[in-house]
Amino acid sequence: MNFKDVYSNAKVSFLRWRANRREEKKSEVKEKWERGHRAVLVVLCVLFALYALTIIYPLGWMLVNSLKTKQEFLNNPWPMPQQLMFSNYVEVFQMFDLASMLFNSLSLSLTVPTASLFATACVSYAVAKYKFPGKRVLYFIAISIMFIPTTGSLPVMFRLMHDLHLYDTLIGMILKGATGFGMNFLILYGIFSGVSDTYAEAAKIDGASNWRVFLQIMMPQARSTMFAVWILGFIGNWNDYASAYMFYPSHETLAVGLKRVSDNITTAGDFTLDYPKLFAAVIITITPVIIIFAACQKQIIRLNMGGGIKG
Amino acid sequence: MRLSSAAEIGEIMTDNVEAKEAQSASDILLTDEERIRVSKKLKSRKKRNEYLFVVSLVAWPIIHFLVFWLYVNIESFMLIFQTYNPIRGEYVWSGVDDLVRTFQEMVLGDNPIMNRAMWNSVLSIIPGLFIILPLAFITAYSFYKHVPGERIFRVLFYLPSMISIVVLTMCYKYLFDPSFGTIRVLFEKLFGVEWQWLTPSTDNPLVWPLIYLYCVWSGLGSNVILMSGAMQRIPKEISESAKLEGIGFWREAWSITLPLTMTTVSNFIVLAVMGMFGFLMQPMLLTNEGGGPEGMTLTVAMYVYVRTNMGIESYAKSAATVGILFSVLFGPVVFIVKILLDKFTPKIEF
Repeated sequence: MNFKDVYSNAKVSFLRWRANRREEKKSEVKEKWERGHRAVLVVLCVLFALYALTIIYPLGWMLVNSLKTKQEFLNNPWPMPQQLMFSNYVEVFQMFDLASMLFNSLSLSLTVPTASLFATACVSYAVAKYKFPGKRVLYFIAISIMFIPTTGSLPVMFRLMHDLHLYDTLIGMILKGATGFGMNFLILYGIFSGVSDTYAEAAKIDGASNWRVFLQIMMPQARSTMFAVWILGFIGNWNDYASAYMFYPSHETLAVGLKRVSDNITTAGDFTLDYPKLFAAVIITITPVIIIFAACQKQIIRLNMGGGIKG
Repeated sequence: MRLSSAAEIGEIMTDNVEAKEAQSASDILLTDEERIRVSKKLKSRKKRNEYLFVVSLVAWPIIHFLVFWLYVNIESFMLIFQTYNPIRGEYVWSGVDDLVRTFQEMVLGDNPIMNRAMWNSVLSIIPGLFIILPLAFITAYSFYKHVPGERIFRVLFYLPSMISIVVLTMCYKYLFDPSFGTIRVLFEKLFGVEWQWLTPSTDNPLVWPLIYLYCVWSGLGSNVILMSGAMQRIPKEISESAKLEGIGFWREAWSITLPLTMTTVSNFIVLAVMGMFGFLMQPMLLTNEGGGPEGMTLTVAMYVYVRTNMGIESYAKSAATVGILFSVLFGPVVFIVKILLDKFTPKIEF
């Protein structure tokens, strides 16, 4: 064994030691970092739980109180009901003709997003997949519509709907809502741009027409996103108050009717202070939405996460 | 059948009819020149078909845009310079008098109610920019770092966005009800405070803070989801290497995650500023439709909405004037904000 070997052995072991040391330090830092993280995350978790509670509590409180009698509620709105008054639901349903409100809500929420989705799919597909004069203009319109404020245009819109005899009609609501631009344009444009042309080209060679390619090949490939967009449209229309109240006044939807029911609470009459029945109407209104949300929350949240505007 | 290239076959075979024609054509015609002419003709027919198809796709959206957006907005703009003549039953030109008067009333403060409505609208960007934005960012960041219960919170936080604003404002309002409002009663029992909470009156300083609180409470979830999406697009390696460097929790949020999600953040800012033009439902449903005493909770959009709903022509006209003037005055703000943000947003592709 000569000096050189000793030296190189020592060097190797030193290097190994240093590497180990470094690893240890690294994992120490990592551990410390993770411990620090965990503390922050736990604090945040508690705060989030409190916030979540403020969302659930009012809804749960309404649900509980919708099952009380009027007197019981007015005496004490916090304990559990002594007797479950499901009759509140039946009575409020008959009292305010919730059945026709339900029908109006459904007819709006099923048709308007369908028309709007189809229009949006058409224009975004054309812009994404075809070359034609004015393509850039359409894209520009879609973007700029979102950033141009139009606060004062409501009166003219109101007049226009009257003049076209579309005011207070379902077809009017559908035509007004069937816009092809806006946020959904950007989402579907992104999707259609990403769909590969292979199938479409094969189908075209087999003699499929443009419409067939669009409806039977392209659309199915974008179906999950389109479905999520439609569901969000359904919920949006179900919940819409401002435009349904203004342009569809004699066909009260649940959201619009609910406002009237709640106004009736404070005016003198049979319904005065009958909060439990109002809460029953509230529960009837939100239940379909909550069921849909529970069933489709994955798609809805994914759409909002992935389809977020990229600028 | 003599066809020179595969591409040409593909070209010609695109349509059944065209394919048949091509076959019959190639049976009869033999010279190259003529075949080229036929194929050119077919190509142009295919072009025309495609063109017709595109036109049929974009026709309705364009009509919709022209009628329900362009016409409506141009007409609204013209309405400023017109007055309704009830005798003739139509609008006549009247110059800029109304515009000047509205400007004096709303912007210069000749009419304190309109002036307050304008400022209420402008100030409505406060909760979005200064509360929701940082809160949503922190929340999304902690989801990104897998806070315990992340999945449940994600769904629960999104829930308010799914519920009608009518119901949501009702939920919120009843927390502060004089006789059974949980929070109100709790505060009275615990601290002995007797505030007016959401009652709109001129000596109640709580109204606007509570409306803003509502905006935050109801609007946080959807923005958290939006930002979560942006954070999920950050490549995993960046976060991993940051971890190895031992970078702190907040430090990473500030100097790594924020710059990398700046596009989404700046879009959020623009949308939050845009929000002031449509800000009406929250104060309207939480307090009352008229905007409270002396326009306490009136906003420009609410003014336009309520006036339009009355269905009286002269009201419609004043509503349009107020709304358009407001849009013209503050619309450029949106563009300036967007341009500034674009300038300061790092251009990152990943």
